[in-house]
Amino acid sequence: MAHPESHTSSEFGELRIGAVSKRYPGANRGEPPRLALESVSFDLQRGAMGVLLGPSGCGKSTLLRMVAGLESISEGRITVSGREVTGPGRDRGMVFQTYTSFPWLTVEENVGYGLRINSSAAGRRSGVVDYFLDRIGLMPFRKAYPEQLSGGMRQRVAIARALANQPDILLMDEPFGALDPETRWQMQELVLGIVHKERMTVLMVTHDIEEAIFMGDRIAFFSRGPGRLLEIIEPTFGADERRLDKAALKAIPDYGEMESHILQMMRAEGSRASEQTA
Amino acid sequence: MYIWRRQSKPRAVRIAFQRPVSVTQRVVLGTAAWLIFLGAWQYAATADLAPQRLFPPPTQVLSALENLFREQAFHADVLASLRRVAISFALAFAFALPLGLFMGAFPVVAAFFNPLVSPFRYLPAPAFIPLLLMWLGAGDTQKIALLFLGVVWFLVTLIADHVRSVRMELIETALTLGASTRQVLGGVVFRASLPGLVDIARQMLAVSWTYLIIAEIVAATDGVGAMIMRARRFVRVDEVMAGIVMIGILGLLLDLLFRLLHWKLFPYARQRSRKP
Repeated sequence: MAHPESHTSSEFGELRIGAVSKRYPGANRGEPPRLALESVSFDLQRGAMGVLLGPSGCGKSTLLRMVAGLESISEGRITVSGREVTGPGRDRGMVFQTYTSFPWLTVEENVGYGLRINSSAAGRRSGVVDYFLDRIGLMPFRKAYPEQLSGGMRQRVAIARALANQPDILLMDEPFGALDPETRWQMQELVLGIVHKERMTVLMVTHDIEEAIFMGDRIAFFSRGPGRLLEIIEPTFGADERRLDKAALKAIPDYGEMESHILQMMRAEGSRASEQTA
Repeated sequence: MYIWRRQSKPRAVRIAFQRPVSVTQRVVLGTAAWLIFLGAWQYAATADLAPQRLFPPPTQVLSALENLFREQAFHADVLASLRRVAISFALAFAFALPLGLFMGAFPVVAAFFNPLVSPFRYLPAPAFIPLLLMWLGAGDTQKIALLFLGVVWFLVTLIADHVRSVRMELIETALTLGASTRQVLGGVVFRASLPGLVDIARQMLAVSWTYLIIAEIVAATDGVGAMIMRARRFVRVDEVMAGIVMIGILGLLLDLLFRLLHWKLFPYARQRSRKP
């Protein structure tokens, strides 16, 4: 299935979204179908961090779920590592905004869940689980149940669980949305650190501009009604420079320019939406 | 009015909405309720409001219960009743679990079975007694069939509803980790529902007990219900009441057993219940 050896190494971890549309059938009979996403194309190379940014209702989460195989694709084609997406699979791990730790499993059992159901040898499994428990700093809590953990810790478990399963790409749907600002900031740095070390391709949905610039190598900005890809923004300042920490990022002169540019687009979308409804 | 206000002000919080009660308070209040109930019963029975033969005090009921066990082999009746409940309930649960699980997990299965199962719940099980007597005779099979019919449709609906409430994100997480349909159904949907299923079993077992007596009042030679009917014939009100008390005690013990099972099996669910 999703073993890195089974396909050419040049394509491993590559995401290609080609002219993808999403249409929902009309709620009532005879009503025309609603277009949620219109012909979106977006590519990511291995190890790149892609961010889907835009106002709520722009279809960015729908697109992410289509990559995960949890939503059907009305038109177009999505490939990951050269394989076409037709349904969910272990090559595309997903982290949700809501807490998704399995409450009946301990922290280490949660992290090892993917490896266990994919019948990975127990010895290798515990090695991988230990590695990721250590990376997320939850070694002392390995025997705890998720119910005993804070929200940030549970989200770390979810990220470690997805990564331990060794996917080709990591998908995250507003993964830090439910966390307080301080935890959120720590989590962003933690994820960046792990993801860079593993050379993991990541596609992440957010509506937080600062988060998008801090984390993203390629930021796709969406408009709504129907969802369209308005602009792809690639921060001109280098990734190493950007990812020192938040304070250093904000000190870069280009940062302010980029932030206000995105903010203007966000505002324009907001006023367009209120005109539409008026 | 003024005095009432002044007194109640600092104490008003005592019965505030949703205010948690400490363990000590709970024990004291619960014991007090029982003492008041038993005291009132004892008083009413000994105060000659009614002939004592028809309305014996709790002390007499207790000694009748003791006597039943010592001289009338009441334990055989208790075991017969327990056996009927155990067999019928195990059968009903074994039937309802797969059906409820599939109905809860797959709306298309629910759309097929629901129109059938829902109306069945409104057919009172005792109405089937004449039919069951004709088909199965007056033996144990008929009683077990009645108990089965009494709970099975409720079990199906309750299990299906509970399984349906498993969060979609848990299912989708498992799918994106590479789980097959079978693995999601058994390892996530069923596993996530399990604590609730034990609760459903505990509650429906109480319903099963109520049908037991109905089943044993009709053409039974053994069982707690049969003993009660026997005692009624000789106007042994104390023994009738002792039988009712015994049913209560057994029901309570089973309830406790299931709570213990819940506590033992689901350590992760403990923290949640401990939080106020």
